[in-house]
Amino acid sequence: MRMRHSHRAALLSLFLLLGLCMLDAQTSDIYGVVSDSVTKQRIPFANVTVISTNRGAASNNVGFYLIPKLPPGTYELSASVIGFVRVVKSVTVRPGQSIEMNFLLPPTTIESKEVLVSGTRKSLELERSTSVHVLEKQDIKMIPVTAQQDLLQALKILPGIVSTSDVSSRFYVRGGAGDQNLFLFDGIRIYNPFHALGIFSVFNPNVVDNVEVYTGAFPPGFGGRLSSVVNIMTRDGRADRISARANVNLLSMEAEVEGPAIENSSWFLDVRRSLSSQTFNRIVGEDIPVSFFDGTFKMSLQPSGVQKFNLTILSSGDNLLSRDPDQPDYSWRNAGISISGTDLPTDRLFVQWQVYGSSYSATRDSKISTTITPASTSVKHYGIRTSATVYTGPKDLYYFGFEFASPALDYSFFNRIGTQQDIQSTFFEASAWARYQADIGDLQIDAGVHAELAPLLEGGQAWREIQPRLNLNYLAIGTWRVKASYGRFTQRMLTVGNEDDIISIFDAWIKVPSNLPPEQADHYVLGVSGYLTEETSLSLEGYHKHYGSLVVFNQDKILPSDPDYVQGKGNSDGVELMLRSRSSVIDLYGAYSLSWVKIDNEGLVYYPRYDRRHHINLMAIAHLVKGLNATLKWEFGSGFPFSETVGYFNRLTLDNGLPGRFELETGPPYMMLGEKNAARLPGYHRLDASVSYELNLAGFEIAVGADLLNLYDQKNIFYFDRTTGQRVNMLPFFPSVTLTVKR
Amino acid sequence: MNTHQIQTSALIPKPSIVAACVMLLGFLSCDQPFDPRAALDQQMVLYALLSNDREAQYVRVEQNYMPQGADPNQDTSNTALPDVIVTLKESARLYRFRDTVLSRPDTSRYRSPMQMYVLSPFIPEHGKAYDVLAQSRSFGMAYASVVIPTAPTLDIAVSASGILQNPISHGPRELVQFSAQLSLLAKGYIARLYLYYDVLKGSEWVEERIELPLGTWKTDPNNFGLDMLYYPQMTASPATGLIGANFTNGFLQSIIKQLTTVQYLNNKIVYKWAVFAVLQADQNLFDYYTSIQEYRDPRSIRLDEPTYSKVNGGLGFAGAYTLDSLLVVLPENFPGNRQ
Repeated sequence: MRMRHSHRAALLSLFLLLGLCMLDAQTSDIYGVVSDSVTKQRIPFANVTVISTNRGAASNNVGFYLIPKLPPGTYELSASVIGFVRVVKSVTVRPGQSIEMNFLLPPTTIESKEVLVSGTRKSLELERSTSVHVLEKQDIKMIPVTAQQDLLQALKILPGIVSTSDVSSRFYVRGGAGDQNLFLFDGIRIYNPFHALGIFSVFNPNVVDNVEVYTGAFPPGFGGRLSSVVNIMTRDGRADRISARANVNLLSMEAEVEGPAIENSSWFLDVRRSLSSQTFNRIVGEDIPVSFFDGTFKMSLQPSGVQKFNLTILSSGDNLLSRDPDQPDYSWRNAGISISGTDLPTDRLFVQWQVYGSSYSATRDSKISTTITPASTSVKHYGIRTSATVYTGPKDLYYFGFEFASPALDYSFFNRIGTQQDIQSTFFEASAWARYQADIGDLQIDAGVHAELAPLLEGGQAWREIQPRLNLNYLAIGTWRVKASYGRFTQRMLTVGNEDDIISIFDAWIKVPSNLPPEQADHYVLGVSGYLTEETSLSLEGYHKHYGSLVVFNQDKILPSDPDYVQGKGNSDGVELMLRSRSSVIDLYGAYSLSWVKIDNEGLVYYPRYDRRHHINLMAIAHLVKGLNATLKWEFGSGFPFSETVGYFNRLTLDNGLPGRFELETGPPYMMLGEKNAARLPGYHRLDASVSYELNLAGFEIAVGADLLNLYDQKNIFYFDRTTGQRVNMLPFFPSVTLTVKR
Repeated sequence: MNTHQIQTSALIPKPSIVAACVMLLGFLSCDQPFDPRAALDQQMVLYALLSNDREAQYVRVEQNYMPQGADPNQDTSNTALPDVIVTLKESARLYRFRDTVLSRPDTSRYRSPMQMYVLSPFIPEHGKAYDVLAQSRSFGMAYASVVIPTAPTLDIAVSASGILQNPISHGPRELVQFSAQLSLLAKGYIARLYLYYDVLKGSEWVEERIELPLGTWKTDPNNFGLDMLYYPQMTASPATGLIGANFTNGFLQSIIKQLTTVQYLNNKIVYKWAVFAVLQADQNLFDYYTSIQEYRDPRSIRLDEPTYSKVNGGLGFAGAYTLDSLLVVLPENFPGNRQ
C-alpha cells in the first residue's frame, strides 16, 4: 500500500514537472547586456523594462540582465539609466526560443533628441536592501576634497561612516573597528588601501565605475569582516578610440591612456604620483616627507554579447622618509591582480568567476633611533571565486557560489622588552553561499546563508560558521517600504597595535590568536524608505550590532604565559536618517547619524575611540550652467571619547631593588588616566566648497576645479600631545586647484 | 517615461542668504579651549617591600600630583606625606614605623631629602603574613597584605662542587648545577650565582662580588666572552616549587681571567666564596614587577602600558621577598689567587 502511494506521488511529481516544462516551453527569455554606445563599457544597474507590462529587470553589476518566461508576442523593450539616453527596441518572442537583446546606450553628452533619463541609476539596488549605498564616479567628483579627489574620503558623507580626523581616509562603520572593513577592488582584497598616513586612498576615483558600500547586514557572498564591505568596480577603457587624460593638482599628477586593443577589447592605464610633500605638510601641519605612486591597468575582452573577460592590475607604493636620522622611515606597497570572466553557459544560469591575488607589505626602518624598533609585515592573499545566478522565474532568483583563498600573514617586530618576534600564519579560507530572492506580492524576500567551510572542517561551531543572512522588504504605502535585515559575520584576522593610537602608520595583520574564537557579530537592521516628493527620497534606519566575540587586550596579564588578548564583547546601536533631493538645477543631500558603541573588556565597559554620538552631513550641489557645478558641504560631529588625565605618581621600577634599596628610587612619573574614554573632545564642524567647470576647447575636454576646505577656518582638534602640552588641530582653511585635460 | 526634469530655481538660496550663512558659521568658528586634564583624583601612594635581608624595613608614603605644565618632570614639589601613621600588623602584634629622612641619591629632579617611614630593627619571618597600614588625616587609610615565603631548600650538585673548587681544570661547557625547593608561597624567583673575592686596593683589602651570567646573546655556543651577557630574571615559580639553576663554567673561567689578568693584574686578589642566592617574591611583588617590566614576555605583542596595584585605598604596591643563599667556600689554591 505504501509502495503504491509513493509510486503515485512520484508519477504526480513527474507530471507536474513535465507540465511546468511544457508551460516553460511556451515562454521565452530575453537576455543581454547594457553597454555604453561610445566606450562599449557595460552599464550596471540599468533598468530594462518590457513596455506596457509590469515585467522588467535591472542589469547586474556587470551589465547583464535576463527577463525570463515571457509569453510569445511582440514587445517593446526599453533600457534606461541615468546619464544615458533611453533606448527602445522591438522584439518578437517565439515559443521556447531565448533571445539575446543587447543595448547600446548613448551617453547624454552626445546630442540627441531622445528623452534623457534623470532618475536615479541605482534605485532598484537601494530599494531592495538596508544598509547599502552605491556611489558612482559622478557622485565622488562632486564632493569637495583635500587637494585631490578620493574615493574613501567621499564615502565619509554616508551615514554610519565615521572618520576620526580630516587627515585620514580610514573610517569606522557603525561602531566597528578600522580593521573590520573589507576592501574589494575588482574582487582583489586590499589590506591597507591608504596613501600618505591615510590622507588618501589608493583607489583613484577616475578608474572607478561604481562602489557598493554595505554598512551592515551584507548579503551572502561577502564574509570575513564584521562591519562593512566596500566593493569597488572599475570601469572599462574606451573601445572606440585612443584617448588620453592628464590631471595635475597641488598634491599629485596623473596620466591616463585608454583605447581599443584587438577587436572587441579595450584597455586603460592610469598612473599617479605625488608631486611635492609641501602640500602634505600644510595638510597635517608637520614636516612629513611623504611620497606615493599608484597605477591601475585593465584590459577587457568581449568576444560575444554576454561573455566578457577582464584583467585588472593594481600597484601602489608609499614612502615616508624622514631626514632626521632619529626618526624612522616607513614604506608600504600594495599589489593586486585579478582575472575574471562572465558567461551564460546554459539558459538562465549566469556565471561570474575570478582568480585573484593581492600582496601588501610594509617596513619600518628605525635608522639610528633608540626608542623605535624596526618592523616589517606582509599579507599575501590568493584565491578563486565563482558565483552563479539562476533566473528561475519572473519574480525569483537564486544565487550560489564559493570562494577558496589562502592568506599568508607575516609580522616581524621587536616587542617592548626588545625581543624580536616573527609571527607567521598561513591558513585556508573556504566559503560557500546560497541566496534566494523572491517577490511575493508587495513583499520582497532576500534570504540566504553564508558558510565558512574551512573553520567548520577544523571543528568550528556550526552556529558561528553557518551564517544566516536575511533581508525583507515590504511595500507598505505608495513608495514607502519597510525593511528588515539580519546577518551573522565572523572575522579571523585583525590588525595589531595600540587601539588608542591617533594615526597608525604601520598596520600589521595577524590571525586571531589560537586561544580565542574568531571575532563574531550579529547585525539587526530595521528601516523605512520612500519618496516625500517625486524628487526627494528619505531613508530611516535603526540598527543593533552585537559583537559576540572581539579580541581585546588582557588587562589581567601578569605572567609571561598569560595571553596578550582575551575575548571581549560589544554592542553598537544607532539610527540613521538620509534625505536626498535631485533635480536638474540642484541636488541636496543630508544625513544624520545617532549612535552608541560600547566595548566590554571582561567587565571594563568603555566607548571606543571612534564612538561619535551625533554626526551630520549636509551637501548641496548646484548645476549652475552647463558644465559649471558648485558644491557646498557642511559636516558636524560630536566629540570623540578620550580618557582624562587625573594625576601623576612616581612609579617605582625596582630596577635595582631585587635585592637592593628600593626606597631610594625616585621613580619616573606615571600618568594616571580617569575612567577609560569617559570624557569627550570638543565637537567637530567644517564647511567646504568646490567649483568645477568643464569645457571643450580646440578638441580638448578641459576641467578646472577649485576646492575651499574649512571655509571659516574652524580649529577642530586632532590630538593633544600630553607629553608636550601641544594641541594639534586638523586641517586649517585649505584652498586647492585642479586641472584636467582630456582628448 | 522617466522624465524627472522640474523647475527648482526656487530651491536655490539667494547669494545674500548664502553669505549670511557663511558669516554666521564664521562667527561660530572658534578655537574651543581644551585641556585633557581633569581635577586631580587625590590618592595616597604606598610603597612597601618587606625583606629578610636587612634589619630595617622602609615604607614610602606619598601623594599623587598634577603638574602645572605638561611635563611632570618639571614638578619638583615634595610628594611625601608626613602626617601618616604607618603600622605593620602580624596576628595580634602591631609594629609602628617612625618617620625618617634619607639622603636622596638621585637629585636630578627632587633636591630635598627623602621622607619615609622605617621600622628597625625588624626582620620579617619566613611564612608569616603581615598587613601594612597607612593612616593619614587627609587621605584616609591605605593598606595591603603581604605574605613572606617560607625558607627554600637549596642544594648543589656534586659535580658543581668539583667545578667550583678548580674551574680551570674543567671544560668550559660543563655546568655548575644548583637546585632549590621553593616555598609554595613564592610566586616568582630569581636564582643567581655570585663569586665573592677580596682585592687589595692600596693597603686595604676590599670585599667585592661579581655575578655570573646565564649566557650571551651571541649565537656562537663556544663564545664565553664577557659582552652581550644576560643574567637571571624574575621567573614564575613552578607549581611544584622545584627549580634547577645551571651556570656555565666557561663564563666562570672568563670572569676569573678577566679579574686576575686584566682588571686586577697588579693587585693581590683572593677568591673566597661562590654564593648561590635565591630571591623569592610574594604574589604582590611578582605581579607588580612583571607588569612594570612589560610582563617579561618575549612573545608578547602588546604595545600598551598598564599598571598594577593591590593597595586598598591607594596606589603603589606592598610586597615582600626573601633572600636565602648557599655558600660554597673556595680553596686557598683557587686559580688566580694572589696573596
